[in-house]
Amino acid sequence: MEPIRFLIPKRTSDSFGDPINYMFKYIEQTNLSDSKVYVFDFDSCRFTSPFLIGGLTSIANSNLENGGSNTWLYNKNDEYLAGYLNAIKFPEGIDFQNTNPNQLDELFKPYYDKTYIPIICFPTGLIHAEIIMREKVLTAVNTLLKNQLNLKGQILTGISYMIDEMTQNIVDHSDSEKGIIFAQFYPTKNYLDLCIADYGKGLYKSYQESDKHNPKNTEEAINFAVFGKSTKNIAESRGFGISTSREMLVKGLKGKFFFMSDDTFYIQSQDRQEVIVLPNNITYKGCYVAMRIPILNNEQFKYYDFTEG
Amino acid sequence: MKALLQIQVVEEVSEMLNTREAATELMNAVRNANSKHIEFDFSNVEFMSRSFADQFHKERIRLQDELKAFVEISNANEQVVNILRTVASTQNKSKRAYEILPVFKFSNNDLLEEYILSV
Repeated sequence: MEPIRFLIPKRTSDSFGDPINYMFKYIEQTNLSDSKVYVFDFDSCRFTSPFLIGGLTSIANSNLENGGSNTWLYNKNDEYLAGYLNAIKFPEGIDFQNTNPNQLDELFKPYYDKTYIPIICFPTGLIHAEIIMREKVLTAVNTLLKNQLNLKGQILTGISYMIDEMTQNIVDHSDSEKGIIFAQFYPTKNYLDLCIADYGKGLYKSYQESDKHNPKNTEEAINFAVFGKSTKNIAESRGFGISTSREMLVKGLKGKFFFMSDDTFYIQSQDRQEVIVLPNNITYKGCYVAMRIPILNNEQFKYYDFTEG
Repeated sequence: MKALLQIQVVEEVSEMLNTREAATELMNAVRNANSKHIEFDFSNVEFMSRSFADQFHKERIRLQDELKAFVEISNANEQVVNILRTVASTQNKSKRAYEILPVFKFSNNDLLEEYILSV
């Protein structure tokens, strides 16, 4: 069977949707073939986006879990791209299984003067060692972003809040072996692109298994999720993650929020808040979140204006 | 039984309190100590996530109910106080804003591309 070849573009534009559009194409490729041999071809690539890298990392991990194989091609003579891919620990990310949690600070220090974080594939398990590692990893990521963005106060708190809520959703609902975080700051454009993804069971199945709210389909499940109808049986205090984070990002920080699961996505920006059902061959197994976070000195922003839900 | 159990949260967890599970582990350790007077000292804790706060809040109430323990929170910064206040006030929030969102379906990749590039 022919391998699936994912052609990574030379560059993606600044448009929020451009890298996501490439993600749609890659997802369609995986859905249209039974091949488990994936070739990720970065040969023409010069600059890429966290929305692409984060999504491809998820697709690659999912393929490995299903017994497939991944090959990554890139021009090793292209010093800039090769250096970047090496620095972000592409494609596996940092191996936390063989890392001492107390050495994470050292591991992350080389990134303090960069504008990106390494690919983080954090463990989602509930055994003590994984809980400790996840806690330390999230602290390291939040500390790294604080240093890179030179942020303090309400915006920093807001970003940490959103990262923690989105990653906790993966732990609580996905049944994914790992969660993925990847981010890049664009200093001249003053925004941070943040991708958080998993390759688990997806939102609709999570609702079905919880027997709560019983959405008819993924469209309704996403509608429930973005307004805080939790899949947990103690819903009264749960389910605030997506609902508060998207409002904080879009209304508070004037950013953009994209959430995809199965054949459906939710988009919220200044001019729209809607649910989109994708064409037949585009179904993402798991959940994928893309957030564009403007890093502006917005003294009006108070993160706790958005935490009540 | 210890009279007063003082917990330096930054030493037990870290300066950032991120996950629900870390809150559970912290409180399990406290429960095993079987003290009737517990002080959680949040000195040098910079940030508490909502998930941590929600679990901490639930476990604190359980400690008070089960062990009849007196639980104090000391030296928490404004963010920690705020998120604990928020989760306390939203534990039984029965009315949440809800609206049925518009749904658009695409069966054609070109139209989908046109849509997503317009965001």
